[in-house]
Amino acid sequence: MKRLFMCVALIALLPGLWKTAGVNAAGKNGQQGTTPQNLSSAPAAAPSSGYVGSDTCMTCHADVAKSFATNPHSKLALMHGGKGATCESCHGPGKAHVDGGGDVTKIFRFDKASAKQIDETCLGCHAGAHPNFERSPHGEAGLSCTSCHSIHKFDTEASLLKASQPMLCYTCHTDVRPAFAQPFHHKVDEGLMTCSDCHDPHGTFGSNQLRSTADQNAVCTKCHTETAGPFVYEHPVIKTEGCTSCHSPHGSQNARLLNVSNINTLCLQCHSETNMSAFPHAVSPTGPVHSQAAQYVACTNCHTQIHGSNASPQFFK
Amino acid sequence: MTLICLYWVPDEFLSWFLRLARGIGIMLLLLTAIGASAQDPNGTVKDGYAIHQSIDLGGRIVDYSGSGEMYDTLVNLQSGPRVLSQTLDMHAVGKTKYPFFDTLMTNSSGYGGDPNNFTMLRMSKGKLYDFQGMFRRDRQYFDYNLFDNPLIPDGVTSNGYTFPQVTSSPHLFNTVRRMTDTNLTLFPVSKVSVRVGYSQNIMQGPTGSSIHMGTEALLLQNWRNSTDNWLGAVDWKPFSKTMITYEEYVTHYKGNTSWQLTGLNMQLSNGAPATIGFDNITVPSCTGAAIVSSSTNPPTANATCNGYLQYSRYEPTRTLFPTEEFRFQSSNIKNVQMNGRIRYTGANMNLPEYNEYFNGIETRTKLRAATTTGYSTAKRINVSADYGIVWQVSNRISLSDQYDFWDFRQPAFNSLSEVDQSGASMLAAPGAPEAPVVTSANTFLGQKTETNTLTAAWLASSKASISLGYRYRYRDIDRSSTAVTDALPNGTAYTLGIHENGGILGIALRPTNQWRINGSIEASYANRTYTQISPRALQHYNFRARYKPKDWATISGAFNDLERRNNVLYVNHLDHSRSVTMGASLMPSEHYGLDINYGYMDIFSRTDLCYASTPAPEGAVPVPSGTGCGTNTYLGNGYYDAPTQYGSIGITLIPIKTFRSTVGYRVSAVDGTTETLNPRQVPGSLQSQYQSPYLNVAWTFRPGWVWKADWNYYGYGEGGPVGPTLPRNFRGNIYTISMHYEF
Repeated sequence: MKRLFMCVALIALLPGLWKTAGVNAAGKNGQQGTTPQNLSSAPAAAPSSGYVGSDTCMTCHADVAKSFATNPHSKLALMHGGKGATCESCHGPGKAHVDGGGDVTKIFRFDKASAKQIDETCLGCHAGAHPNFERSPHGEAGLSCTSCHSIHKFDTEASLLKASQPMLCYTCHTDVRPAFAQPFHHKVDEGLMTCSDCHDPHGTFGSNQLRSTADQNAVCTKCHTETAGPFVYEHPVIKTEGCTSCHSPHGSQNARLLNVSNINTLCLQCHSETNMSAFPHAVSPTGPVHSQAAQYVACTNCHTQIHGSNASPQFFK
Repeated sequence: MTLICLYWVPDEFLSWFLRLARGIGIMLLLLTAIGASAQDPNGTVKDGYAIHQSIDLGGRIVDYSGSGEMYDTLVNLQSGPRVLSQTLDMHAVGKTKYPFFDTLMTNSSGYGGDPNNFTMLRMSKGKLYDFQGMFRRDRQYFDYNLFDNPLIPDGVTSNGYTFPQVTSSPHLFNTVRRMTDTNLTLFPVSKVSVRVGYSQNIMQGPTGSSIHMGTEALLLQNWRNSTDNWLGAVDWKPFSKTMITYEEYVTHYKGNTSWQLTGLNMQLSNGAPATIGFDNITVPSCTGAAIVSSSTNPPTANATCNGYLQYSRYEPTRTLFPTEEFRFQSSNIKNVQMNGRIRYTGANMNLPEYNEYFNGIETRTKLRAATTTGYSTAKRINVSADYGIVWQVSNRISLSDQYDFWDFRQPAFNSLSEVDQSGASMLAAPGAPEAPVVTSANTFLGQKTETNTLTAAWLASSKASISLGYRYRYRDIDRSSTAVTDALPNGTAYTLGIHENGGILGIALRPTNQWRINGSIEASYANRTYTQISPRALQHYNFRARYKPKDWATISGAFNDLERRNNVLYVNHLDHSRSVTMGASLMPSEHYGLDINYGYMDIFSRTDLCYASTPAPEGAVPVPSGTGCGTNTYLGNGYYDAPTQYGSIGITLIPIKTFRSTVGYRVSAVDGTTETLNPRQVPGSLQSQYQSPYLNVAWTFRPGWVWKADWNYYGYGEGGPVGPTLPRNFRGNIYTISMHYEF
């Protein structure tokens, strides 16, 4: 009976879909056409020397102007007491370009400009939000704002990116893509996180363009708050050397994103008496309780609070 | 057609299909109702807003075999109806002023049963405000059964009872994290703008843990932590190209995780549930046989063995992190850009009522029961200052400098009062409470770091630039503790000073407009390190190239080699992380495209280390004279090598405008080796392959209506032996059917 119902349902659905497809969409009677936000709704800018106003730009570049209403940069019209320009705020004065019959050499073109020229234009407004860009690895590598962003042909309206993360980042960082494909990884490819959750591609004062939390802790603690501390008994290396002493944050073959597959090897690399004078914690765990062949295959079976403890100097609890 | 259907469809598919069909049927009915007054798929204009929406409704049918635990750990997609995605865009049109917003965008994904969901909301109104909000939910199930597994061998038997192998990870996770982030900027384009924000992070759910008191017991760690963050900030643009910002940030952490005894798989002769440890790789040594009777259900344990009857622990912790930040940015001076910030955090941790109760036997100390109470406090004073400046000396030469100062100091105090009760058998009540034993400790951890990086850059031509930098870093680490442990034998306090010098060479080439190459070489040396695995000598070679011969073609590659050494006597630490990767994305026609990627990576490390093992693993090397190692008898090298290959290919076919398909394959395979310290140790995921072929089709059978079908396969397999636990291989097929509707 169930089988019969299922088969009938399958077959019945097909014409049902066609019928749905045939429903007449609301006619255009009484429906307003879609029009872009009128850029001249703000008082027209008094034409200063060399500027022609965005209405003039629209006469030739209608396709660009039409979609600009939804662009965050349309706010430029609201600046300077409502007399701000839009197109010419970035492309420069357009009078010579117009007078020259659309002479492309008489207007600032981002696709022909150097990285520095592009950065100067964008950072003229956005330097406050991205003050570290010129000193950042991206800046020093000669990338410009339009390497990742496109004002007129973007994929994501929110940040005007040419492509969404992480695919945009993978275009150059091909070495990071395989890490996120490993069995244990932070869920960037799944869409739960983005590269910019941990890194600021515009640069930071930290290394690897890593962000920090507001309380000046590692960015990891934004999500993994239980490791932030402060603890009475710290695992000092976490605070002094960082989480990457033990973990590979992009992805790893090893569970919990550990750097090596065997927990005990990870611990014994530091906690071995191999050169006590050089390292204050160069002490080997001793006694039958630390026999590697016994049940203590993993140090963390006993030393469970390994990120820090408020009750046990040995991190037992 | 009905008759053929009746005899062809297998029974086991029926129940899935019926459930999914119910869900999809309801959604399609809803969509039909919406379609009855359907809008233009390009959107509509209503009440002064241009509105465009889309929704993907459908469901997943999941079929997997093998290790369900490992499937849930790596994939965790289950069958059921879904709201796969949803978008709504609203933009104001016309000249009417709207009270609440000009622009509103929202999108969501994954609701209805996927382990990851998110919702994003952005609203703005002219020069009045900008609002951004995001909610993310992550269900994490983790049970890689080798993790923290004692690897109990076959045949550990006492009195006819065989101690069970541990088939799940003792420290498994089954938690949900919910994160909310909101940010509101008032007067975003004004000279003075104000920002306020709130974020919340809640993580909760059952996880596994363990405790050591005589023997090791499994604990249910009921994870329940939450963090609230509040932000208030003012941005002031006093003059052109200059901004000054003050931010006040307050973070409040609440740790309410608790621990309870679990895994009571035995009983005493009086019927009381008990455990004598979950990781008995040999029969426990007790007065008499460890198992009194294997014929009872559950088996009866010897009441004089190390064991547990009860255990609980509560550590409610509250931490407040207020932070003040002042920063500035200015490019007002010709050819000079500078920015800086100062931050101060004064965090306070308070654990006012620590409570721990143990009831069982610790035979070594004859401890029968113990109640521990106490409190802990800690502070973290965190001060940092950063300053960066770029001076464009001439058209071709620029100089930049960045100075960073960071100092944190963390004094803390802990006091615990333990009341012990003695006894020799879990069958007898604990003895009278003894006088409390109070232990207290003052601890301190601090580090001061100063770093300066000076860089000179030369724009040789429009096609090439070179930069050369010098970095000096000094770190001063202070630690002290009145709680002496075997991890801190050389006194209770130490101070370390570390000086590090490094050079960085950078190069950026643009041979043609389509071709970009950049790279950097960094080398540094430190006079000492804090740990054996921190590098004294570091070299990093990093090169990338991108070639874009056409708008539709991008070819890129990268070489990345990080080498780190700590050649201290008897340590000999060496590690490297090397990768060679390349990718190409080609879409020469609107009808077809290709995306292909390959990567080879090698992660390697070795460090001299000491260990004890009875019996010793094969090939164990006795400790040479003079090496140290205390009473440990073997010297290992911690050898770890994980050569990994990654490949992916995706082919997109669009034979006609209304039909799009993509077929592809991804694989990540590692064939690694590591030193074996335990004879029962197996490589596990170090020798594994994780592959996922996929196929998706989309048919636009009417403008705004797209029928989609996806097939994803996930296969995980290990090349080495399973070990004394359950196999971890799995295969899973995930079919996702959905209707995409735009209106």
